[in-house]
Amino acid sequence: MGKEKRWMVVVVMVLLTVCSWCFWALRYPHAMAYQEQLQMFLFDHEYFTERICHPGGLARYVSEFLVQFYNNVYAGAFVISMLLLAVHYAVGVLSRRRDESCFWYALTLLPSLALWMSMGDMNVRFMFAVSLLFALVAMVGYPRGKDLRCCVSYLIILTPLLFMAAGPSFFVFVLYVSLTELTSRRSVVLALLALFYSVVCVICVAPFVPCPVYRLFYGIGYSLVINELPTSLYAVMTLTSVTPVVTRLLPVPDDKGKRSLVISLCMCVAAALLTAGVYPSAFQKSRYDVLRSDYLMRSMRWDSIIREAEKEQPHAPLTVATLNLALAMRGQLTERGGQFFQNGWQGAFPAFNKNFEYSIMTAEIYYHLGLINTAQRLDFEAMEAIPDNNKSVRVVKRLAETNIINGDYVVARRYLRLLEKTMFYSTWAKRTLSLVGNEMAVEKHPEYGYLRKMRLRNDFFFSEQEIDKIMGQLVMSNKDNNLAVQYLLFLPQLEGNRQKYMMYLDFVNNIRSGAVSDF
Amino acid sequence: MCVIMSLASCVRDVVNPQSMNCTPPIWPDYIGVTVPVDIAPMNFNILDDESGYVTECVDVVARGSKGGELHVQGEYADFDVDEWHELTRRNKGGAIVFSVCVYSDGKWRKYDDFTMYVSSYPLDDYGLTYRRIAPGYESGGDIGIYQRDIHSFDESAILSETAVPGQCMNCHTANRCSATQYLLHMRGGKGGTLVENGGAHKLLNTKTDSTKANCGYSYWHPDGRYIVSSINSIHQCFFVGKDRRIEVFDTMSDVLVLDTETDELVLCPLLQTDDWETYPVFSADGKTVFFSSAAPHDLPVDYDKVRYSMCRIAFDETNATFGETVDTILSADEQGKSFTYARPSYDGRWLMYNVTDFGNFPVNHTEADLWLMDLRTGQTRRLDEVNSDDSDSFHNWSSDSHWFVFSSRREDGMYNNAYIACVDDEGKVTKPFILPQKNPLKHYRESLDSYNCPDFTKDKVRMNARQIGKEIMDDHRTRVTVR
Repeated sequence: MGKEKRWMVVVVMVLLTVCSWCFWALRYPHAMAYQEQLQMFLFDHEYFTERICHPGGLARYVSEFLVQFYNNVYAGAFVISMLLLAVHYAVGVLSRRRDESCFWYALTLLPSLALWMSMGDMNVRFMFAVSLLFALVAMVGYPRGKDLRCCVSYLIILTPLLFMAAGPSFFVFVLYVSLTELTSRRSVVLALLALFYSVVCVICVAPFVPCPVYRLFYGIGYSLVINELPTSLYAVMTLTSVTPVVTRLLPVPDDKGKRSLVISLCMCVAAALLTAGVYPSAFQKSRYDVLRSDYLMRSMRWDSIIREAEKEQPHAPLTVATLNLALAMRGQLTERGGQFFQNGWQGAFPAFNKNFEYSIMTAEIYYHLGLINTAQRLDFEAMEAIPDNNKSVRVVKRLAETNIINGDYVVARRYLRLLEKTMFYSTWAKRTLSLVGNEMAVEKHPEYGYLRKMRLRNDFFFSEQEIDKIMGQLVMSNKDNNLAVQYLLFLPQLEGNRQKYMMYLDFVNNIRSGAVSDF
Repeated sequence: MCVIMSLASCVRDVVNPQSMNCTPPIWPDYIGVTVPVDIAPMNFNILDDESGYVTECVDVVARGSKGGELHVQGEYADFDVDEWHELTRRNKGGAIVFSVCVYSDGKWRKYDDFTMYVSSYPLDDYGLTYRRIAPGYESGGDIGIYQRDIHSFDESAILSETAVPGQCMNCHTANRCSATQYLLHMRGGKGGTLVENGGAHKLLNTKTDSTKANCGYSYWHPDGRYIVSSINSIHQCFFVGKDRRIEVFDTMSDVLVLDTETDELVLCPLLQTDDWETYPVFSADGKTVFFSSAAPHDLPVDYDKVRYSMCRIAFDETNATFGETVDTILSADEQGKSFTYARPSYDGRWLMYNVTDFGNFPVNHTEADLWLMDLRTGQTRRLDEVNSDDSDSFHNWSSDSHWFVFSSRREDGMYNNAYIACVDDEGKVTKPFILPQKNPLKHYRESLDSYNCPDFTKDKVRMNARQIGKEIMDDHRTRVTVR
């Protein structure tokens, strides 16, 4: 490889790393926050053994360990960019030609760029990327061109091991081996046997895994949608298998001067442009708007939510509801709510939906209002709505908080003890444990103490159809519950019911002056 | 290296222990409980929070009143399964006295000895079955029917959500602890009733044009042909306040019998009234059906006014016919309570049931208590020996009717755990013990699942989960008809 071409490789790698880091850290921190909350990695041998006994278990364990770092968006972006770089580097190593030509170097970018775009599907778990890297490591280790017996032994030993460690990404390895052997015209039998042997491995393992066989082919943990594998992942796997073989085989022009370097660079730019073209469909804006709202709401960045809404009005029920909460938190809901697109009562309190985002985001609204039991119920629903049955560290944290507010300290301690075993919530859990059972400390706590005071004094059934009455009861329980007051006055505005608005306004004025005791 | 050091640090001689003059702060509370021979080791932890010290090591000597001694030392009391079984066998009908010393803060503390009794009644059933479910109310989540060998710590899934992705399942109902005769209702999109009967199984659609819903709460006739079921329209409402979470209620329910040979439903006008009949069970001899019945109310408004009486009606299994009268054996009107979840012992001696202030879903009622009726005399009593301040419910008998298991929320008010107690021939009931675990504190304080509807199973249930799962996910169901 010439000196200029070595520089080109280094520059491309640096660009890939920097661009991906900036992309995730600065543009899509909410994508990482979303993934981070869909698991609860515990430093616990049971957690490890529970995962390792399934095909792909090691990849799942490693990926869940790494996804913890998404808690810090910069560290999380670093993890992703390093993985994309590692995939690219491994493909580069596999694509290395005998003549050392880098003419087709741009092709080696395709698997990592495709992987990057596939991660735009928020159902795709990071486990897929880790499993792909496992497969690539196995591919790099394949003794291509060496003694046939050596290759066969490697294949026989590594195929089942890789299946257990990485899951169905091992087909990437198997396909690569088959293509390598077929194109080298050394052993067609080995190529076919490799494919056959891989299917046998899956079938042999199937009786020991209590799930439908198709899940073994789709990968347990690759995607949040458990009964199918996103098409993009097929594309990534195929590209990863095929690209090295094709890159090694393609003819290169005789010209080994600067012209070929320019063409190579142009192809790299073309790959980048192709990725940019795929980007809008890979990262669907409407879905990511919801995740961004949730991210900002979770970190209580109310001003950011309002500021972003001023630039671009939200339209989805969840984003509208988040904006309304942000306005209420800033005391602006009654006055400014009408300036934004609204969605009826659904825009204030989205109806229950067996879906993680719906449940967790709606729970946030009830939590801040002081409807702690309702928030807790929806948090439970959110956790059980995670399709791959992972537990959610965010939900467990919130459950600990709601139980502290309710004074259910034994249950709160259970959740805090679990969080102590995590990496990023351990310090918080240890600190919060000091509140458990300490009524005075809870009462004085700026958030828990306040919300404890905001809770309802009387009890009745929750009803989405009578949410205005629940707001009225909240105001009755504590006239200082400004959030409830705003929502109470805002709900008639959403209906366009001026008479009801005036009635509620009178009620609020009277209750604050002590003239009313019932809603 | 760290592991070796930590193990080494926990092997110490008990030197000059300070006498504490109180029983040790152990968890679970096994002090004074009665256990069967060959139960899994009753391992326990020391609660740091209670003593104010962080336990570094616990030294336990367990001495049998009829001989035998075990000595363990470690982070918690962890007995060898075989040695523990040997100790319980030697002391059948006797007691085991535990001497506990705790090393913390640089010195040993010796607590008063405590006693655990070994019952003379054997518990030869293989173990328990139960549904493990996290407290989600509408999303199914990671739900599953599990079984646990009560003589060791082995737990395995009978059927879990991984085999039937996205499906919700009700608790499995066995015939008198049988491992080969049981049913299981699946809910949701792939709903149906799995009936396993001696190696053959079928999936039924139990909804007919003449009945208002699918079969719900079910119970097997002792001869294994009939299943008595309720059909319910079940609803749930959620409280917004602090103290209660949920109320589950029916807005309609009837009782009927399913003939598993002909796949026919047998209806009885006395059990298809405007009243709400539910929780039917057969008596031990199969000649009576016990059930709960309440007058209809306007729900959810009057949810706290619905009270169920305990009733019975004769049943003739020769031609599957019911008697002509319904007897009320516990009147809700007279006693102002709700009587549900009747479970007759298989020897025909006892009837255990739940008493709550109102409603028919005791697991969500903190006041839910277990009561016992002597079916020979009709005398009833509250089982103060086993009841707690929180919900105690979902009880079932062992195959020999001397042990029973139930769910209780006594630990934290949120998660149900399985407790086991013994009843002797005079109806004397022992202090219950929580299902033993290898490391109980870690297991119970870190689990995010409740143990629902525990029941004994005589043998290990051997279900081909993959095959059953495949059939469940197919849409083929045998539709039952009405006789």
